[in-house]
Order: sequence, then C-alpha cells, then structure tokens
Amino acid sequence: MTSARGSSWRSKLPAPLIIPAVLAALASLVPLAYLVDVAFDRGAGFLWDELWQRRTLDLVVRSGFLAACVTVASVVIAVPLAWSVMRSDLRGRRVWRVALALPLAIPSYLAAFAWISWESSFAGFWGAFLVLTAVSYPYVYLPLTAAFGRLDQSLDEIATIHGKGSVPRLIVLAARQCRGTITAGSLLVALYVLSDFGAVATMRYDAFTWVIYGAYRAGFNPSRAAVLAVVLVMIALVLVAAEAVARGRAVSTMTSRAVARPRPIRLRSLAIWFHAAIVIVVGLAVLFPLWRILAWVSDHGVEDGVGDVAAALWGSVRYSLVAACITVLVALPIGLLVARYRSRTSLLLDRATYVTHALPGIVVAISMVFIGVRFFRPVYLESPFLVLAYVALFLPVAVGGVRSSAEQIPLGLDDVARSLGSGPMAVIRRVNLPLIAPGIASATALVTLAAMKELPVTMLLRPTGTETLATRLWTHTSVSDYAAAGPYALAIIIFVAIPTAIATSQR
Amino acid sequence: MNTTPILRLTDVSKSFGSLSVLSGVSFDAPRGSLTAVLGPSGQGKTTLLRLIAGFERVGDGRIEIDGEVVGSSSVHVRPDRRGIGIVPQEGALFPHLDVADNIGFGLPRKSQHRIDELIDLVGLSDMGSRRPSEISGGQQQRVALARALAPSPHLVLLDEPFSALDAGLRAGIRDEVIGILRAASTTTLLVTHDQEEAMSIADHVVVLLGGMVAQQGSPTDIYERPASVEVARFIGDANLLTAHADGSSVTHVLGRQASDIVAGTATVLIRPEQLSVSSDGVPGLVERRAYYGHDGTIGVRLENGEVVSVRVSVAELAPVGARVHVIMRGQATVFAG
Repeated sequence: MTSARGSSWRSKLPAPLIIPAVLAALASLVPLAYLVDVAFDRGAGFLWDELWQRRTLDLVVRSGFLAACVTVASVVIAVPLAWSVMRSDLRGRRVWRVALALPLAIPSYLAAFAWISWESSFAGFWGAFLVLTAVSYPYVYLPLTAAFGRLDQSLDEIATIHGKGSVPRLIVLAARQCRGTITAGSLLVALYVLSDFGAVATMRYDAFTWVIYGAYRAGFNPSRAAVLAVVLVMIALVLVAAEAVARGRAVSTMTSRAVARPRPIRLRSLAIWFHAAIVIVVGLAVLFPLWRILAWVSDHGVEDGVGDVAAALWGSVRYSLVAACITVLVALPIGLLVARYRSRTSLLLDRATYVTHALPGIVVAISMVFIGVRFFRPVYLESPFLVLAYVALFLPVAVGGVRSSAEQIPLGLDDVARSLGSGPMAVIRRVNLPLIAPGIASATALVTLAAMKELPVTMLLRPTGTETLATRLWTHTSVSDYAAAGPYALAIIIFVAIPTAIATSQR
Repeated sequence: MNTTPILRLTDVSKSFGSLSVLSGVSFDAPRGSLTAVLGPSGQGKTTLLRLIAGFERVGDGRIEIDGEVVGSSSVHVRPDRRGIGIVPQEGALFPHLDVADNIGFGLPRKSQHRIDELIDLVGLSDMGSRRPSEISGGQQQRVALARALAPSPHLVLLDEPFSALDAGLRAGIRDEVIGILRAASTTTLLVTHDQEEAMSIADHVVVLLGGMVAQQGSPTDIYERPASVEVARFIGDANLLTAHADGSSVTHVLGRQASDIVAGTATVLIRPEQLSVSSDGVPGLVERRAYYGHDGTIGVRLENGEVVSVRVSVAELAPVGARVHVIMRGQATVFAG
C-alpha cells in the first residue's frame, strides 16, 4: 500500500540526525582510506610488484582454499541438521535446535586453544579447517532454520504422493527452495573465515590475517602489510556485496502469506543417524572445547592467580562497555535514518556502514596503528584510542541492531504523531526512541560481548600494561603455556560465551 | 454562520513517477458534515487522504482547510501544523503509552481535565491506565478517535477505520464512533470501500473511480441517479439491460419509457427492488436463488436471454427451474451507449 512506501516527509532528513550520521559514516571509512594511502606509500609500482609476487598469489590460494573447504563443510553440516530440527519428528528437536546454534558464541581462538592444547599436531590446515567449521557453520544453520520454518509443507506432501518422499529427497527439495538463504549464509561463512585471526593464528596457518600480522610485526615493511590488507578487503567487499544480493533474492522468493504449521516428516529408522550427527557436531564444536578447558583448569589449578584473571576481566569489561555505549550512540542517528527515512543519503549511509562491515579486525587494527602513529602520538596506545578502534570495528553491528528494531515500528505511528502536532525530531524523541529502547539495550550488550572477545584490535592497540582475557589467553597459548591459559579460557566461557549464547537465543 | 467549507479540494492531482493516482479531484466538505470518499481498493482513496493530511505533497491543484491553502504545487503546510486529526485503519495506538497518554499525545500541555473529558466521551472511563495491548480492537479504535479529537482539530480523517474489526462488532462500533463525531459536530472525512457503510452514515458521498471523482452527492442521489454505468455497478446491485432509443423513448425487454436520449443502442439500470414476480409480465426461468432470511433474490433468465436479479419476499422465493413472470415498477435510469 501507499503507506509502505513511506510519506514524502520522510525524504527530508532532519539536520540533527543527518549531521552526526554523515560524520560517523565518513569517520568509519577513514581507516580504509588511510590503509589505501599507506599501500600507495612507495608508489604504484611497489604495490603492483607486491601484488604479483609469488607469495602473494600463494596467500590468496591458501586463504581461498581454506574458506572454500570450510564453506562446503558448513553447508554439508547445516542443511540436513537444520532440516531435521525444523521439518522432521526428531525427538528432542527443540533442544537440538538451540544446541546447534551454540558454537556461534565460542571465539575461534578459544576453540583453537582447546584443540591445539590437546594435540599439537593439529596445527596447520586441518586444525584451522576443523575449528573454523565448528564455529562458523551456524552462519548457514541459523538463517536456514528460519527459512525452513516458513516453507510451505504442501510441496512435501505432493512429493510424497508422487513417490518422491524419501528423506534425502525431501531435504534436497527443501534446500532447493532455500537456495538464496544457503548462498547468503555460505558467503557469510567465507567472509568469517577470511576475516578470522584467532584460529589461523593459533593454528599457524599462513592465511591472510596471520601473514598481515606477521608483516606488521616484522616492523620493517608496513607497506606490504597494507597492500595485503587492501587485497583482503577487496575480496571481503566482493563477498559482502554478493551476500547482500543473495539475501535480497532469498527474501523476495519467500512467501509472505501465513503458512500452516508443517506436519513433521517421520524419520523412523533414520532418526538414529540424525541424532548421531548432531551429537558429533555439538560434541566437537561445544562439548570438546568445554571439556578441554575444564580439564586444564582442574589439572593445573589457577596458576596465574585469581587476581590476574580478575584484572584481565576488568580490562575486558571496562573498555568494552565504554566502547559499546559510544558505538551505539554513534550508530543511533544512522540506524534511525536508514530505518525511518527514504532518501539517497540514507541509502548511502546504509551502504557505507555495510562497507565497514567487510573490514576484518586485523585490517582495522593495523590501519588504526598507522593512523595512531602518524596523527595521534599522544593518545596512541592510550585507552581512548582502543575505544575508538572498537567503535570503528563494531559500528556495523550496532547500526544493524538499532536499524532492525527501528524497522519494526510501523511507519503509520510516525504519521499519526505528525498529525498530532509533533515535528520530525519530536517523533523520534517521543515515539521512536522509547520503542527501540530494548533494541538499544540489546545492541549495547552484543557490542560489549563482541568487544570482550575481540583479539587482533585489542592486541595491537591496548594501552601499555593493560591485559584483557583475550590477550592473556592468546599470549599464553602462543608460547604453548596451556596450563596458564586455562583460567582465561574458562573466564571467557563464563563471562562472554554464555552471555552471548543467552543474548542471541533470545532474539 | 460561517459557510466556508472546512475542506475544499480544487483539481487535485497526484502521480508517483509515471503512475497517475489522482487527477482533477474537486469536492467540498461543509462545516460539521460527514463526507465519505467511496471507491474500490487501489483507486486513490488512501493517497487522497494522505494528501489532505500532508503526508504527501500535492502534485497539482489546491487543498484548502478553513479557507487557508495548505497544499498546492507551491505550498506545503507540514502535517503537524494542519490541525487535522487522523484515525488510521488499525488504530495505530502508541504501544509504549497507556490509554490516557495516547489520548493526551497531541495536547500542547498535558491537560488531565481534557484527557478525562475524552475518556468519558468515548466511554472508556477507568481504562486510562491500560496499555493498548490490554484492550479490545473496538476499544483501541475508540482511543484512536479520542486521541484524534483531543487537540480539537478542524477536521477528522477516518481511514477505513472499521474494516479491521470483526463483522459482528463493526456496525455497533461504527454507530458509536459516528455518534461521538456527530455529537461533537466535528467535520469528518471517511475513506471507505464499503458502499453500504458510506451510504448509511454519510451526508455527502464522493465516488472515486480510477483516481477521478465519478460522482458526488447525497447517498440517495447516487443510488437513484447514478451518473454512469460504472457508478451504478459499484453502488448496490444493478441490473443493466440493453435498450433501444429512438430519440423520444427507450425500449427494453421489461418495458418502454419516455427518454430524450440520442437514438441508437442504450443501457438501462433497474434495481432488483424495482422488479417483482407476478402472474403476468415478461416470462422467464429461475436460474439461481439466494436466501437472506428477511428476504431473498432470484436470478431470472428472460425470454430474450438477459438475466435479471429480482428482490422477492421469502414466500415468493421460487425454486430453480420454476417459470415466473417479471414486472417492473417506476422508471429505469437510462445511459447512452
């Protein structure tokens, strides 16, 4: 209807929103711009040479291969399991449904720590593959459960009537209807793998992020680190753009009409295989890391002392909480404009935050280092700078949270408020903000938790002498001091992973 | 007495891109009247209402409220400065505010006295502290009305306000809402696709077809003297029969009457209640019957093959296949072509 398109007054953006929103969006693009600048520092010739070096091409192949393997494995795991918990009569499917989403809450470096501390020969491709598959298949699984839940069951019935109702065939049938969702999820997995630092660093697999970190650490070659980072961002941008297209298609093919609750398909003797598969996946992705961490802690006690763990926890909480509040505050004008106004500017704002979404943590980290060293000497490696880096990194998460809750408010409410005498800003103050307050709170919580488990930015930009749970765990793991790492891993489980699991499952 | 109409539209047009939604719409809503804009879905009713409220800009033409131009190709008064109350389809109450705060939303200073007055007016005393989610759909609609009336607007716009309600409740709530508006002598513009609703409650009906005013007038005018075949077909049940005109009269299967319509083929409109079954008249065969409890209709195929709908009493409700004779009372409405 006409109201869905939104009123013409929505194309006129109020200045009190547009100015901070545009400034924030521009600021969030500064790291990327500066990175490109550093990459060109020694001229285009150097950049060209670096790009076409054998080792650069090898790097692209290695990272691409890892991303492809993890993506395929994620789809293979996610499709049948999502189907079994949504469309079949599998016993305990409601519990399994939640359990299969839990790995999302486990930081990759934590899972990597669990595996490598158990068996050091996991280092390399197989370790990285195993860990990344375990933590990233939920990016396919979660949207797919939602999509399967909305599928029309009549197709299942027709297939059964025509004698094509065997379970594998029904899974393929359902998957084909949700191709767009699977594609979008796969691209997110690939993006996650390329951006991940913790798993490949712990497993010493020479993927992009680890090599960029190495080039930066080596110190003598910032331009090479910048060139590689730019290449990584380019690949990530392609993935992000493809994901946006795939998601758009997935939404448009979805039927909007209410569909009767599907009657579950009987698995009969096949049920045991699905149970086994779910137990293996949840076991490898969740229970095994938990068991390893508890084993280290109970075998070796808390070696560093409770005081050190508490200090690291305080370090994590302090910066993360401050950063989350600022990030959400910065995200508010952008999220509101994108959700409530229709104009070229709000569309551009949306795209800009989407671009920053493609920036891997290590890329944000090194570009902030470059910026810090050149322009912010006095505060570089001071707490404000770390907070600033978190804001840049997590702005897309916060914008997404504000936006999705603001989009749920019917546009008609704004119109009514306007006709009752409220100006555009009064509508935001009196109608929109009160209604998105829960969304603001949950976005703040999510950003806090995301910052608490963040590794590369924290590692490179933390104020001298400050330790967080993530940096402690990383430092101990990187020198194979697993006994000392255990307590920090346990603290991350308790203070980050469990709250994240609770926060995301309530969505 | 002030005779300036509260709302006056002069040649109002609006298009979205290349799609023309409204063209040349003109009508007045006199002070204190209830005007209904009636038309099928997708014929520009909602757009018209949004133009009047100021949510959309007028493409061409002029909208005046109480003599002041609020919308034209060069003037656009913001929606918050028009003094128009609006009752949207689903009520659209603010979910974070209780009933009293919803009603008080548009008051410059939160006047408890005024809020209480309106709560009483819509019969929701002692519900002031309830949340919108805690009251029924009909009650929500009454709160939406009270909220629109609170700032004493020049004009209240009702956008299909009853269509979301259960059929059983609709008539009762509608009468109540209209009663409140009438008692407050508020000028009201009702947008609806329900012709029965428009005909039964409005003083003045504007029929909107294809983004243009097809006819306007009192409900009786529109029902008895439709301006076109399209209006006739849209308002009420219509038998449209082919006829032949000779310049001074028209002849059709059920009779002949004087008419100065141009010679040639013509169409006549006969309402089902103008027809009855009788012992003599035009013979025909009953093809279908519908029983409504208080009365019924039968569809009769006449000797020339045309089928007419006849309103009959329950006793006259002949079975399918029965032979009957049909006669007409009064005059048919004649259209050229």
